[in-house]
Amino acid sequence: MAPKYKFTYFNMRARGEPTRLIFTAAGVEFEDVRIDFEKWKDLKESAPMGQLPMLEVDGVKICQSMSIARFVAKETGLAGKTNLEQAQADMFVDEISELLPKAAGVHFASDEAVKAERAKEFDKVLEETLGKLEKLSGSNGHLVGDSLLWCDLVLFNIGFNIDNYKPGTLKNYPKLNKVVDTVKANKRVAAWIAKRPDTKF
Amino acid sequence: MAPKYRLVYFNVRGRAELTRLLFAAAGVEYQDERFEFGSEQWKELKPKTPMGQMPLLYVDDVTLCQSLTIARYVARATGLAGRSPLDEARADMIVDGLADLEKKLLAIFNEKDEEKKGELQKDLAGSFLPQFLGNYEKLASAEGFFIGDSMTWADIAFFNTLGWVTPMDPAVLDGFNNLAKVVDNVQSQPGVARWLKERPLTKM
Repeated sequence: MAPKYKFTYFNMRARGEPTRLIFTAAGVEFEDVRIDFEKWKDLKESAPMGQLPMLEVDGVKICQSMSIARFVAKETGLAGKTNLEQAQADMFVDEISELLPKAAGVHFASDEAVKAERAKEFDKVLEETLGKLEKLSGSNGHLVGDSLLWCDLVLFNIGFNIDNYKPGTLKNYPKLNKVVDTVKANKRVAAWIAKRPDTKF
Repeated sequence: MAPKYRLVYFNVRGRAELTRLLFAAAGVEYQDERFEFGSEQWKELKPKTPMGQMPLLYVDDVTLCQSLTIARYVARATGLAGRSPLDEARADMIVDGLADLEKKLLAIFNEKDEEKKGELQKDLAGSFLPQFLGNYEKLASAEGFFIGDSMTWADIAFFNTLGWVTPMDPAVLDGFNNLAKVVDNVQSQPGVARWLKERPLTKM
């Protein structure tokens, strides 16, 4: 019998959405557990590093969002065909991953002055990072190789936040934009986007 | 035929040492190329690299960047990644968690103000490390392995990161017997032991 996957996170996209997208794109069932901060206080002791997200499979608990996502990508055939291709996909994910905490820093800033300061920093980093990724990206609608891999989904996910922050940003990066459009056109992903809980981040 | 590996980085341990340790543990040959800070060679190479950063691993005609991606790739290529997808994921988890500790160490290292530096060190020793090492102690076995019953890159990564803590606090692993065993296993592994004797001595 196939392993039952139980994925636990807060009711946000943030660090949990890449994994949800990978399960979805691959058409693999998973239990999408979303808990509030009160429930988390009770659960925290039982998490390997006291953090979320967490994946439970075959009696084993995995934490660290990118370790989880990479594992699920491998399980569902979306990691890359060879060791080297997997490393190339990892490379993109590592670079893209630097954007999320910075985007969160801007989004969650309560003080207007702090928010403006962080937005200025973020704009700079965003331009640098998207520039680097555009140079390296494939031109066929995939970052690496010739089929959907988890790195495309990770880009799509951060692209969603970037578009909320400054609509139309990705249009300046045609190859990256094509990757995002290719993901959007994936039937399973499109259905998920339409029905997933609407959260601010 | 085995691929040719060329690792390129500054002449420090920094973000390349984990990969160097993995090659050493596995007894796999590679070219350990080092640039001095501010060198002309790096200035010339930088625009030709995938993301303008080091370390870099050249594998035949493919160029990899991002230090953890490189280390993970080498771990897989040398059989040190874990024996199943789930083991690989647990090893990844251990290595990812170490990044949190390394971030704090980097902040301390970069802090120029002596008073601020002291505060950061106190916070590290008094509050962050006990929690962190407590979690990690539970994740390691009494035999001194994070994954199963043999060495993986998770053990070597822990040893490597701890190398930046022990100069500040030599007794940091007191009371953490499993973690002390992990460190002991790694430093006495023949390939690693030889590398520790031969490697260039650098500040970082």
